[in-house]
Amino acid sequence: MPRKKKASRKKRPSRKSTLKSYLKRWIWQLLVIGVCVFLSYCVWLDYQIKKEFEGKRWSIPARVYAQPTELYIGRHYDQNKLVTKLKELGYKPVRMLQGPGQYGVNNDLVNFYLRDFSYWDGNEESKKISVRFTQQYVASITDLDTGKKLQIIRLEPVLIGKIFPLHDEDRVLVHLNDVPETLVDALIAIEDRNFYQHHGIDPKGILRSLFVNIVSGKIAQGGSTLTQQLVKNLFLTRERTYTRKINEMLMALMLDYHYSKESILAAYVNEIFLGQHGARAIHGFGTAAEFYFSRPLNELNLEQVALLVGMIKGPSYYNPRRHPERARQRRDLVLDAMLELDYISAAQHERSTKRSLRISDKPSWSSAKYPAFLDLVRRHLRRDYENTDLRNEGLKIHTTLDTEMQDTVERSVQVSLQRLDSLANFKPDTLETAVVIASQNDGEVMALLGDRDRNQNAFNRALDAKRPIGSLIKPAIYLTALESPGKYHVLTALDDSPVSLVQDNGRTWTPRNYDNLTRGKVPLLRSLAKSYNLSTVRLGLDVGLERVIKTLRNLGISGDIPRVPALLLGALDLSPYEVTQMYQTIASGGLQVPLKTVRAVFDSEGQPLKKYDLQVREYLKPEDAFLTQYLLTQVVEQGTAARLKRELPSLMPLAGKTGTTNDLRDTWFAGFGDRLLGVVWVGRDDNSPTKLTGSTGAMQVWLGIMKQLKPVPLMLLPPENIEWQSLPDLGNPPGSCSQRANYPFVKGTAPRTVNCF
Amino acid sequence: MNMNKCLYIVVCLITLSACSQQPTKSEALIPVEERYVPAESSTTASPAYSVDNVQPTVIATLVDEANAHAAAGNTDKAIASLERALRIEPKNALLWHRFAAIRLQQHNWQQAIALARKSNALANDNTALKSQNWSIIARAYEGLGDLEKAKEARQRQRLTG
Repeated sequence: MPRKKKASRKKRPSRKSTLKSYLKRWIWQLLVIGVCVFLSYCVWLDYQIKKEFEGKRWSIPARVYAQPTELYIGRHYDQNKLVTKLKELGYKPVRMLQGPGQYGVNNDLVNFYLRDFSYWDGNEESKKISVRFTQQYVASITDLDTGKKLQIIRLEPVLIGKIFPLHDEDRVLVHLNDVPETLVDALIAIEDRNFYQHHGIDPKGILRSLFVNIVSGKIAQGGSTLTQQLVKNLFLTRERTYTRKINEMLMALMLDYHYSKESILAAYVNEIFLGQHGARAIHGFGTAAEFYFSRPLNELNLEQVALLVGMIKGPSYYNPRRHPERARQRRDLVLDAMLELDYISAAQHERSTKRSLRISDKPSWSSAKYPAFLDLVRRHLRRDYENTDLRNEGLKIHTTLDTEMQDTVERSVQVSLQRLDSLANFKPDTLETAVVIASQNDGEVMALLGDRDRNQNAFNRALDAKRPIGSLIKPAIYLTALESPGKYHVLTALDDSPVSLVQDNGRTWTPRNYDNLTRGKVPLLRSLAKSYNLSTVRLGLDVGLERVIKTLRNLGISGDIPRVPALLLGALDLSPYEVTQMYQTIASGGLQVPLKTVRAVFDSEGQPLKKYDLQVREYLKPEDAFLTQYLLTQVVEQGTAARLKRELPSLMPLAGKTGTTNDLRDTWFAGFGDRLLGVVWVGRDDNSPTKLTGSTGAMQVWLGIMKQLKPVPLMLLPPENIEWQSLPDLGNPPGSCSQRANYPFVKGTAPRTVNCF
Repeated sequence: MNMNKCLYIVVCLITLSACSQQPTKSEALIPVEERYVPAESSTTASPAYSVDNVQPTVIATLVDEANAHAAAGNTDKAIASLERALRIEPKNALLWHRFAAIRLQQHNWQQAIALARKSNALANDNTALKSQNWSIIARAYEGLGDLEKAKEARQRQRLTG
């Protein structure tokens, strides 16, 4: 053999054959390279698909719980509240407790069989409990089996929603088990008859649809399989090119290879595009059912399901709100296809095709009871936990929502806004609002409202509406001044005379007081209490913009802060949520705790994910925070929020600040007692005037809420280096000084006397 | 160890406060915190705030739970129990002190300092507690390697102690 080879080498090849073999080799090489490139492309594509799809597999959602109700000796609670709570948790009334989830009332005793539940600090075991109330307090808690007296127990928390933590939108996701069979039948009948047989693409289907379309003379069926449509929705842009089509087919094959038909169907049902509302895309049948019918998917009847399935082909072309007749024809076509495949009987078909569309009047978004809060939970989960952990199936998420408080806030806000609408001579539902209620000590968000109507939660104003905060910024300026106790104290005379400033852009800025008056000298505490602009601007310029900005940072503001004099009057856009963080730092005495909604997350095995702890940072000196709190109580005592004192005399002292922006576009109120902190914004989505101020707008909403919540008054607890000094009373009425009052000062800085002004 | 001493003191203080605040039968239902607030005489019928009449035994139960977790080295659970107690009594200086001590145990120095200061801000004239807090602050600064501030805190500890 080697000899022969040697011989052949010696033979001189002809020119033609050289070219031929060269060409052949070249083609081979090209082919190999081509295949290699194609294969690596496929591998890359495959990787992309798996990565994307894994994150979007709609399997077992995370269960989200409100905070559990704690019952302890001495708690202010009553029998009715407990029974309501037990009913809400699904406890059944019985005469004899036999198993978990039962209760009975016997005079002043409430007996119940507690269900077991695991918490991050241990388990609450299932046991028979008897709770006795004396007047409005928990007097005793007894374990009925052992007779042991207990100090504290907690009822298992209310389930407030099921979510997929990594999912961006607040779409209504459905598990395949909750998908009506008719929906799957309709999909198969109209979109992909060989879904359970093909491998992602369906050559036969393409041919058949071609045939049907030619025979019927119109495009009745598309050739894409459900898998291809899913790929298109998940991964690809909307352009129509051959490359895209090839990609789509490749990806469909891969998807089909890796995942079961059920997984693909489940993803399809939650992913498919079914309409557009403003900037918002309607994805998935769960969301579409709410959007078009205001009902959960599993409550839709046959023709409603058929309508949604029919829309897949062209959600805007077949939009039932805009083109009802077109949508109806398309619906009937789906029903025809279902009849053809015997998925429905002729009687069902006839009944359904006769029915009108019955679309809901107003688009609604979600049947979730607390959509705004769940939105924040989702954001906090991503802030505080590893994405890989959040991908786990069947997580249990414990949150800080106080459902009783949330319901109270919602009811109260409805009433207040109706009143404000009519007060300002607006049509009903003109004004919008956002509310955040947090626990000031640990930063737990207990209630959150992003819209006056919880079902219209398209835009979560509490988190996403960034508006100028107006006078709500002022405490930051006064706080900055009080950091120099040698120079400023609560009675320092400020100059409230006119001021004009040439700005960087060459234009002159001439701020005015709200009432257009000027007042000469005013004591510092009254300047903030009455929210005078001129004295505040002068004070801010005196301490310096840089220092004010630094204070805002210390108060927890992390976004852009414009370095312009108008900042001193609140030219700073913040969301109600950010304002809450800012005031939390002041209210808690200078210790900043990041606002939180998530107490703990458990995986399906019951193991806690990395827990988010109470993170405390000291950003303000206690005496500065204290003096600022004191100033804010004066806003309620004698300033722009004095109405609170008149309406809630038994809850005094409370601290707060009103805010109003140019032309009365935004009205704000932030206020706190010893435990609760509440921030309210009232304005309009198109940013037009509200005809209301901080005190006539947002503060009224706050007042309405607090009348119900009855917050514990603020205990002004002075730090060590604060002393009280008795001086002439500069408060109400100003200039009288007929009495004396105690004012707080950093030790050694109190004036002996003050001029009466 | 110092930790044990600290535990001992906390337990003693809680027991003490339990004794001193034990309400007599007639005043058992008067909210404790109302006493700090000057009552406004008011003619309008407006709602009085709702406040718990928290029994020291409730807080003690949760602190015991936290101590047991901490002793078993399970500081996260200990903190969870303390947070539960703090939600009931957010102005309880002892709880904040205990919280600071557990942060110290976790070598979370910055937070130990912040929490001990918070405890001090609420401690009124409880000098024993304040002294303990300064001790935590001193040790946390030692942990941070800031010996000057540690020394300063030690001095405060001696002055208050």
